[in-house]
Amino acid sequence: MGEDSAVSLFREYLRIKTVQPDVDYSKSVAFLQRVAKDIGLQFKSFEVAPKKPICIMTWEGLEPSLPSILLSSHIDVVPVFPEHWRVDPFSAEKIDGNIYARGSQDMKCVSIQYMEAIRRIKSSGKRLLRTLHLVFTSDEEIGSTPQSLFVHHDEFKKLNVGFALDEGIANPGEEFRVFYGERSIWWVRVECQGQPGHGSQFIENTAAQKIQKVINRFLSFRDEEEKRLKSDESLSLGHVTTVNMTMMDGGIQFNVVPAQLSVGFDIRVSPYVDLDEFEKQIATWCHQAGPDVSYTFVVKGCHQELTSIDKSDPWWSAFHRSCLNMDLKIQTEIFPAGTDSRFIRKCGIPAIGFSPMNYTPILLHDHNEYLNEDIFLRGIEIYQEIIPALANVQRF
Amino acid sequence: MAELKEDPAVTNFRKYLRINTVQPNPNYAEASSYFKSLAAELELPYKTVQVVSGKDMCIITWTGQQPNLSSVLLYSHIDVVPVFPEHWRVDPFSAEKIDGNIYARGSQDMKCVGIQYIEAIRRLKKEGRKFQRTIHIMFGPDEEIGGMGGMGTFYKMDEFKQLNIGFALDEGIANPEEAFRVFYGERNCWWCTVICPGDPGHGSAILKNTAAEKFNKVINSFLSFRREQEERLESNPNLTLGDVTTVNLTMVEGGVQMNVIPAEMKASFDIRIPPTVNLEEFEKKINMWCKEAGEGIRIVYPVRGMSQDITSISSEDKWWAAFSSACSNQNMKIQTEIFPAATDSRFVRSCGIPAIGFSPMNYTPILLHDHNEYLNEDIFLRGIEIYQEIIPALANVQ
Ligand SMILES: [Zn+2]
Ligand SMILES: [Zn+2]
Repeated sequence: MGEDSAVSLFREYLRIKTVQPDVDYSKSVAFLQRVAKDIGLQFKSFEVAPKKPICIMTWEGLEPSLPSILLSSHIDVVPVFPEHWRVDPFSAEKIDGNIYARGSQDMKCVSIQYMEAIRRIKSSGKRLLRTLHLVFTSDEEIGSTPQSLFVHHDEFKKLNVGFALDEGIANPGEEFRVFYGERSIWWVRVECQGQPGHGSQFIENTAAQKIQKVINRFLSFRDEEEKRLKSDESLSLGHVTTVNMTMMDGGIQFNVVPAQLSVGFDIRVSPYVDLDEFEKQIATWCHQAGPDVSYTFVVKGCHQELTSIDKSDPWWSAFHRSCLNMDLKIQTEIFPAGTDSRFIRKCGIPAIGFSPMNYTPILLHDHNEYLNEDIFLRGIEIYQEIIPALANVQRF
Repeated sequence: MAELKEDPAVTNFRKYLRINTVQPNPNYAEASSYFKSLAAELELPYKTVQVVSGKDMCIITWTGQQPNLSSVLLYSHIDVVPVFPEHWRVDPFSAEKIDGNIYARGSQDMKCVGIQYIEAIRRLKKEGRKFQRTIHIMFGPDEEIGGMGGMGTFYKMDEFKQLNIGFALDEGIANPEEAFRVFYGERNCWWCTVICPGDPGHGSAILKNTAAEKFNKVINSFLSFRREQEERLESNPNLTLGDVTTVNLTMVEGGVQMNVIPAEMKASFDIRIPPTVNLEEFEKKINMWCKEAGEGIRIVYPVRGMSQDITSISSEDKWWAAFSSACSNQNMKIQTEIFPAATDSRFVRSCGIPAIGFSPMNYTPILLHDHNEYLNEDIFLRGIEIYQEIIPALANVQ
């Protein structure tokens, strides 16, 4: 039996290597331009920074003055450790219907699903009220700098976006996970200065004693939040603040008590946390660890905007109703990590994170990432319902 | 006011301090040519013995009247530990003299001693003195990084045996008080890296079995043991640092990028164990801490000293009697101790050769490996006089 052409296109896109770092986006841009032409969409691409493209496909609606629908996806994927993969991570091999490739879940699937859904809607002869923009972004996986620039760009303002869809996460169960907000990313580096000296001595006021206290504080907070998450079933990961000690460095040689040790934490702050209070908490932990302990933010996100999931909200009700019409079970959550959506929400534009992958193990950023082709094809049908529902939301 | 003319011994000391022999890339070649010029001044033969490529033992020999008797070794290491220049009041390799204090890396540890040996010998020769035993002044590389590129390898070589050493002097430590500290043994040095593996993942997740949790437990166990030992030392005035086990977390390493939970984190400890501790038991303790911290933790020991040799400080010992009576003849107060750190003496003692650690620096703050290391020039000059007594006493032991 021949492969569905949507699946073939998906696999072709997966084979274009867009792995971080130093992604060469040129092949992807050419691919997207070709597909846009094939479907009959306007295509535009430009660089927000050198070698950092944004591609936009547009299908004009019947009332182009109405705010538009943005269908967002990122082109880049995270690095791989090929030795842990059963196949070449850029071969998009299909084994028992599962398509193995870096980006199969995060998130080349969604890019192709948007396009294939629109291809089908168009070929059925339908027209939609609002204009659709498919936006393909670069460097999401290394901090979304291009997207952060794009939302302040005239090209973005010209899109007149009213509502956006962006990535979600797979779920091994039946429910589809729908994200209406995300945690703020804080990358905190704590530096402990102390008295240096010979490694054979008892020295007071060492960097080691201070870093020990710092680590104990941060990690016991981590434990508290983990307990809170486990003890309350209504909470998902996005509702609590996570702390991971991810970086550690310091020291010169074995027998020298170092003058400085430093530690880096990846903290994801729940949108329900008062950010000023939380920073005070961090300052207190550092202060209590001893003199000359300082913290700096490598990244300090402040993204507490939540998209309404109230029935009275016209966007949410359109999204939600089309899910109900298809008997999709959905589960609303705070996204545990950072996505391009945070910049859109920051502009006051509602955005929902949704990747239609139920019955699928969570493999984003993991070895042997794959997506089943039937799940992939079902996703296209889901977008065939959701996209028109959103694009036909009446003027309000 | 015109500056008084500097003693040439001080000038030589400062010259040596300006030769940059800081780890990890010491300029040994320049040091060696300096020793060669000093030997020429003393009219004594100079030779070098390569230990490993680019690392030589440098030896100046003054043959005794009875060259078949075992010799006296005057040992010092050439290298010095790294500096953080931003914390220094002067360039650490300028050997600036401020109010009589000579500031430089190596001023206490231990270029002072190397030049004091030379200057004492210079004076003794000038006086026309002759000794029974042969004296070797030896300068060795890489003491500060474990000795494997220096004495730690040399002591097993034929060239070492040929020196036929009967007794050795090596480095000691300063003392802010009147007493001179004299070391007759040393703690074993264990350098221990604990490698904590864990499941990697995204920095936004809550994972079980992370490297970070294990790392945290490991450092908590090691550092609370450190606290116990520190309290033991503080609560008992009879104990010196050499009598307790010290632990220092000196290096940490791990991580790939901020948002990736790493697959591995490492903590490195410098541990010094007194000769009275049962080393097997102590290793079991470390293994238990690591086992308690979680699965898969590995321990590697780049250095693990197992020698517990002690040099006799009994009045019946002829070497000790010579050394200690030379000190008491000069009314020096001495205080015998276990050396808290490791020195190259451990290699010498492991050959059954008695070795005493002694750097004549009383009334001097302990600044080895610290910022703004300095030595006062009067203390330095007094040290030469002290060696002028000690060296003949040792070289004339019957
Ligand atoms: Zn993604
Ligand atoms: Zn030393």
